[in-house]
Amino acid sequence: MSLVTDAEIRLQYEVERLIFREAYLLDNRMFDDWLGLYLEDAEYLMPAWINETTLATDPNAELFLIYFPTKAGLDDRVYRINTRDSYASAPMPRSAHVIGNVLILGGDQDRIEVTCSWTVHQYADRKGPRSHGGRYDYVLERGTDGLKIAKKHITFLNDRVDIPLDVYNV
Amino acid sequence: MPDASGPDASGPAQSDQFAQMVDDRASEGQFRIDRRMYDDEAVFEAEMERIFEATWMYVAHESQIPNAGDYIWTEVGRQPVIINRLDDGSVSGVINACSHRGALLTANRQGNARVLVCRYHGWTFKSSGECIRIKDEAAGFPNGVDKSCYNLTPVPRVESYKGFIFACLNPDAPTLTEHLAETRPFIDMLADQSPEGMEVLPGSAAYVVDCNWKLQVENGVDGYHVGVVHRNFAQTVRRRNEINGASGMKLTENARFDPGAVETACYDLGNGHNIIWSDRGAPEAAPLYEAKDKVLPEVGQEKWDWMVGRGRNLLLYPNLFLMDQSSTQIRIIQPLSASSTEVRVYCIAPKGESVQARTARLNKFRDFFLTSGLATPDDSVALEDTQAGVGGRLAKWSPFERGQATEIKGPDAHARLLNINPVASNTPWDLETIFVGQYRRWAELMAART
Repeated sequence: MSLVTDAEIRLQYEVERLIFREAYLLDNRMFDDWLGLYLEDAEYLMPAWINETTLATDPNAELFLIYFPTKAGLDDRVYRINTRDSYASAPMPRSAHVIGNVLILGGDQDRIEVTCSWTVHQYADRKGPRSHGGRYDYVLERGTDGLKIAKKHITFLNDRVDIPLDVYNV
Repeated sequence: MPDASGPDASGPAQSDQFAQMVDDRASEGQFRIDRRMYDDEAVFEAEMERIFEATWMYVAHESQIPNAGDYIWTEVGRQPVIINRLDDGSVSGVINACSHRGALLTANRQGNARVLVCRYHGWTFKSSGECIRIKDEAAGFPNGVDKSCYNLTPVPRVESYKGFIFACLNPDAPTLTEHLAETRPFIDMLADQSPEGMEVLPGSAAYVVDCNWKLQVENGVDGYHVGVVHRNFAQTVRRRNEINGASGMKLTENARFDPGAVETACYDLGNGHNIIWSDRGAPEAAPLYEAKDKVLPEVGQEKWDWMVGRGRNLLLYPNLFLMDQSSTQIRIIQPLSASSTEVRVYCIAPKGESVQARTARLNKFRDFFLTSGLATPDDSVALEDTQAGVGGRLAKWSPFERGQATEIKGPDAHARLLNINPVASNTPWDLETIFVGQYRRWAELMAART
């Protein structure tokens, strides 16, 4: 392997800082700040499994667990949670994201493709502790105020789950 | 009602005990059920035997197994079964257990296998179940062996209605047609949405809810909770509609969330089956609306008005919902234990619909029908709270009495238009007439000897 350059270290740090910050904001229910991490036309996808080995790829022909073509879908979720009228979200489960294996796969300084692994530890009074996880594939883009999320693709390992899933616990 | 006096696996005393769990005095204005039926494991075991393994159970849609050798592995009650398409094009089923040691014969939940090869000792079967190879046969059976003694165990009955495949482990059950009773016109309203047929879209989602299966089965046709539990769904999509200035299929239709805004009703369709329906405030929001020119001439105006003008939740007792609301769903309720239930959901759609309609259908499916959506999580947690509450033994009974005064025996005017003949009708859709039908069927099946 070639030597690591300072520029690579800086980029890795910048990428990790954004991804870790997203987890922090979600776990602390700072949803308005969280929305600020996304570009207006950001895509957010969590496909269903087609079978034991294949994930859905086309959200307009196959089943996705979550698919938002723009940030407006994330905004709907925050609005719903903030109604305090969602049975599943009041009280909200406690959660802690743990993210690792952050690897820059491609792109350049201004458009970066990143993959990482995640787990979420969750606790809800009636259900007790639960853990689940998977992989995030991000596309990050640099704008005037730094890196933002242009795309988040969530691979969720389960095809069966016994807790409701929402933006704060995946 | 079947004779419950004779001996059976669990004994007549237990059958009487089950019968007493449904306190059916409707003529005196009282109908209530004993909440122990939601969390008693002895009740659960008897339900598996007398309901799930004794009546017709939905197993798959034909579009999921189009070619010879295509199979699905699923459960009927507690039994693992393979439902597959044979070389002659027919649909058949075998118990998913090798005749040798009982290992499952499929590596995957679905796939294609012209022969089934056991992965444990290599015994091999035709997809019809016929045993065609025993590994090292000559060494093990020097005097020969009759392989036909080792065929797989067939599922006694497998039949389709309009693409929906049902299996029955009880050779003596009534025919599928008798079982479906007055649900068939309503199945048709979904099955007839395209001259090319219907298809189950790729990808399934399953979620487990810590509640008894009967709470799930009530919830899918419970109009009463819609304006309460799903108030925040209605509020969220109404705001979205306003922000987007949504019209046509981009609109999420939500009139049913406002009590009294549109006409609604519920029908007890016999054998525990039932339906609730509500007029759509904006039929043009339904993904099927674009198919008017194609479908209306095939089905006629009255049926078309039912298909596109009304949202419908159809329950095929004990555990299948065919939903045609903002989107279209097959929902299978698979009991795991007295207090845990798996729900498997699929999106079903007309073959040949436009990309716009398919996109809208999937959007609305994700919004409402998934445990990662804006509505189903609220149902799940409400049902888990109910399960926790029904354990309170001092509060023994759940009443199903709302609506007795307005119940009509037989069809209402809307049903009569299509010559559909419910056991009972009521309006609005959130009255409890239909649950009386569900629990009478439960009592009838639970009293039966198996």
